[in-house]
Amino acid sequence: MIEVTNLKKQYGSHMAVDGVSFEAKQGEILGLLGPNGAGKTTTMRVLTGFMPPTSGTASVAGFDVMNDSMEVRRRVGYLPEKVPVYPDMTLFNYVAFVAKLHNVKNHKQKVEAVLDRFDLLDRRDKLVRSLSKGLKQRLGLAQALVHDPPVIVLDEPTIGIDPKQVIEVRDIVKSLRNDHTVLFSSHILTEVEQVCDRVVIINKGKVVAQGTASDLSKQFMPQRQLYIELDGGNQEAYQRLLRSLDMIEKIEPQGRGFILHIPSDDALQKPITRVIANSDFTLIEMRQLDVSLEDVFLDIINKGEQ
Amino acid sequence: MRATWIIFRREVSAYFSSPLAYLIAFAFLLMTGIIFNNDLARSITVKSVDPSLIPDFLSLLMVLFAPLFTMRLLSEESREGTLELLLTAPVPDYSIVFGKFLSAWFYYSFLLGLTLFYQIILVNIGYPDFVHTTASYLGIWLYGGATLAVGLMFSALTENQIIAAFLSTITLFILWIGDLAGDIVASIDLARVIRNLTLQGHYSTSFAVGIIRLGDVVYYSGMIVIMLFLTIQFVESRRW
Amino acid sequence: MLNRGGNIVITRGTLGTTGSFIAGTGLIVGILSILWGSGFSIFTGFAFVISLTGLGIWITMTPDDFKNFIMGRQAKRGTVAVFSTLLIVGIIAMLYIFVMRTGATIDMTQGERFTLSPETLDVIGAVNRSIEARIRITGFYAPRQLRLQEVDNQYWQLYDDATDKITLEYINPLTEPAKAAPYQAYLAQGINVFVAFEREDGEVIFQSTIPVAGTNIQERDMTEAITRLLLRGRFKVYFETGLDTLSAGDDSAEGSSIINSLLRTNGIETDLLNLEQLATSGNSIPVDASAIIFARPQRQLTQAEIDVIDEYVQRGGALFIFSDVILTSDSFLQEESMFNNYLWETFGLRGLDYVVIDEASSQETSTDLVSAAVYPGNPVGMNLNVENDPQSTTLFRLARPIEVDETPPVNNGSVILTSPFSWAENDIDRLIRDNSWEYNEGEDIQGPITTVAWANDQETGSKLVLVGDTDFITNGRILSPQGNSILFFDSIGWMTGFTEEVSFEPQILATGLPIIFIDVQTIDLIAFTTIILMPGIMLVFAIAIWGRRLR
Repeated sequence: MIEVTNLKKQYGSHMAVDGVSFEAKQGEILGLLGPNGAGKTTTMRVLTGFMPPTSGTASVAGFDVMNDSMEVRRRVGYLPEKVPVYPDMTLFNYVAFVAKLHNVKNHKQKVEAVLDRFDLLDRRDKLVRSLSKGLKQRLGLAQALVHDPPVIVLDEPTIGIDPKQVIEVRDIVKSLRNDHTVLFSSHILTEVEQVCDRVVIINKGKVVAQGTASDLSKQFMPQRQLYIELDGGNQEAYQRLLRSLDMIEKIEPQGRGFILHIPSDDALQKPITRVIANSDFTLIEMRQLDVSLEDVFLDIINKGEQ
Repeated sequence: MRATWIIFRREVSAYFSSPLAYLIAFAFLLMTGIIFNNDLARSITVKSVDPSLIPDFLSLLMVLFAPLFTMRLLSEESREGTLELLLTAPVPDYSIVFGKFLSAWFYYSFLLGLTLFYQIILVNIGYPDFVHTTASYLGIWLYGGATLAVGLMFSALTENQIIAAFLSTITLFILWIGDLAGDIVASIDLARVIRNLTLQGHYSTSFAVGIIRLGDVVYYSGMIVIMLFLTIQFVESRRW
Repeated sequence: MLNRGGNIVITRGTLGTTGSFIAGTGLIVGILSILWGSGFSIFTGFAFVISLTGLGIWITMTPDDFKNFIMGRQAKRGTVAVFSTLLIVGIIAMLYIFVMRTGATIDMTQGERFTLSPETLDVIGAVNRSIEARIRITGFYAPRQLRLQEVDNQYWQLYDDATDKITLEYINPLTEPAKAAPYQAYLAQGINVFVAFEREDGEVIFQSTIPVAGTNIQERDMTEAITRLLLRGRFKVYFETGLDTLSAGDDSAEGSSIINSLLRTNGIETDLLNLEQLATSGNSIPVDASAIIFARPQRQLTQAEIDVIDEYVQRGGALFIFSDVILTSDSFLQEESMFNNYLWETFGLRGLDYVVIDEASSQETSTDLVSAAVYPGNPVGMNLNVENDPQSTTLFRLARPIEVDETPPVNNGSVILTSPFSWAENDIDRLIRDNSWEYNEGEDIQGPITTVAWANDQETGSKLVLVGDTDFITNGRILSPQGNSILFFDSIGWMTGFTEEVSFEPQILATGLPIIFIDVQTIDLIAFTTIILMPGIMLVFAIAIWGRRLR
């Protein structure tokens, strides 16, 4: 549904997007993750037909953003980071305006429907300026959806709203799966993890990783971590014992036990348990430490800084 | 064109629901009303009614008011982020510019129409040279359109409303005072050329005295076209 | 150039684009100036130089962009925008110049002020028919009168366009003072447009110059001036000089040069005539004499001289005679003199040897006579004593009465009378000695007294205007009050037939649109509605909406 191939976008002398390629399949929610200034917003602006690429191609629903910009825009619902509202319009009129711009038939009903969906219908005749930030966000989502677009692009939709509303927004986004293809950007990792099917990690205008959360884990953190606590001996003895296992890549003392770094696809618990059982030591605790996307992300970013 | 109409309607309703616009209308009507009454008082004893009184006054007033009408039109949009909304909607850039321009011109026409009330008063108490007045009104309507187009152009140039208003005021003032080039410049030919480049120069010695010259109509229309074209360029430049 | 934050950022690219803009603009301005001025000028050269400078900047700052542009490849977005804008500007400018040249207009004023009226078209027809007449309209406008010129030009151009025989020329008196010098006296009075005949070779015949009045009723002023021009030579008035009359060449306060130039600027030729010489040489008064002015002759006429006059009168001549209070014997037009009797017999008018005293006269003494009453319907007095216009009265200082025969041999009548509180005082000696007077029944004649009278012999066509005062036509007195010059000129106009030829109302002009009459209440109501009510409604809306916003 969305195809981006070697996209580059230059502002003056600054290369905001420097060869980005990714894909979003129909019905999936794709996350765009990266620190501020990574090029997320710029990429989205290209995909929504706001600006043409400097080089490379991007297509939405089969239409090229450069050559068929109008067709692209018809099929995209966009919520920029700064929610674009007219403070002195009523909620209803605002969404109706967007609907009309998108040539929606029976716009009255559609507007009412979408306001209702976001629980804003009772406020339909209030002025936009009377809304809190969280409600404005919902309104922004409403206008992005009123014309029922196949593709929805959301630029940091959970910024600056309170936690309860953040959860609401995430739920709404999740509910869009399958009916729409969603491109969702954020610099909050947990959020992307929760909401998206797949993730594209961007830093300094380049894609540094893409895939599902587990793919990424496998790809970038091929190690797992086990925490082992033993009894009946001393640290040296434990270390000697553990080192006998070849596949353990690293042993790191931690608290009363050790963190073992092992390759992630190996079922290593058994050999370790056996070794310990055959020894004079007692196993107090063994548990797997989760490698979160956060770690992956920070690692990637840090590698990028170096 | 459909998109132009949608944007036009939104902008017009924005004008009619904006306190600032009504304040401007208040000032507008107050000033024209005072001028009208002043002239009326003198016309009872001293001289005859000036058929182009209000339009003549407006040619100067619009130097200040056109920027006020238009300063928010595009600067505010880009500041509030709604320009991005418009530019990612399936509407052509020119329809955004046309819709906004036409809405400003419409609002101006509305205020101008209110001043026709004075003419109605005159018809009831005397014998105004209504045909001359019509010519003057036509001229000031076109003149006003041109000033609004200039204001819109500057509004597209910068996100800062104050700078937009400031630049348009200066430009419009120059295009008004250039009419008096003869008083400043020594060469009469140069003065004539300068006058021909100004907005006021195409009003004060033609529409204002009751004559409609095709050349003046072309000038104002052309000025509007050029300004709108520039505006579209500036709006498009945000995409580069 | 303005980045997202609204600040101005200048880069090499910006300079390059600016250079391309300057290059294109300079080029277009240069081309347009060629079209406008129909030729290459300094201005054009200037524009092209600037264009080349811009080109230089463009090439040095962004050479790739320039190369791309020239080769037709995709140039920088900025460059494309600049050139497409310039293209649009160029097209519109050319269209504009083209239309301005055709001068298409629609005249919207009441009564179509900007279209020539039938009367004007008649006059222009006369110009066309006349073989010799080629007319030049010369307008002197300095740059600070540019706007005035623009408005006037709409009218003057109509005349120029109407016929090949009328051409229009504008001269800037500041840049060509030599050409303006001959007209200096008029320019100083604020008259800046003139009509004159021009020769085949295009040279203006300055002596034929007639000034065009600047009354803001442009068509009437111009058509009248052209008419006067056409009438040049048709009318000729002679000033009699042999009788110690006022001298038409004398500029001093006692001279009559002003009435002389008054006649000339209206296209009436003037010349001098010596009655005594004519009488002694046995010649007649010239055939082209439309009228003869006798401005205070100082002696009585001889029979021979009277015969010369009579011969002229019998063939329809006109006499304009100014006499004065008799202070010595052998004075002109003394009561029993031959000429006085001649006038009585021929026209039924004569002078009386009295001084007119008017106690109701508003001037300093009772011998200063303001025209108290003017006979209505009289072509000579028609423009005198206009209501509410104190300047339109005449003022005679020390005048004698004119007697009008009740049973005249020809049509005659009074023009100007004194008030009922006046009389003709017989005791002139006392007046001179003591400057006092007193009405004596039987001696003096009770007023109103006629001081100006007219006579018209319908059979011969001869006319006479006889005035009991001469001072009022001297340079020192003719211009104030204005009525003095009006009396003089209207008399001449009537006598010569000039008035019929020239008087004009080219348009039924509501120049002053009727004055409005409304009462105080209506004024207040209007003021209330327009100053308080209408703006007030707007203010109320403003507050209401603002209030809604706060909720």
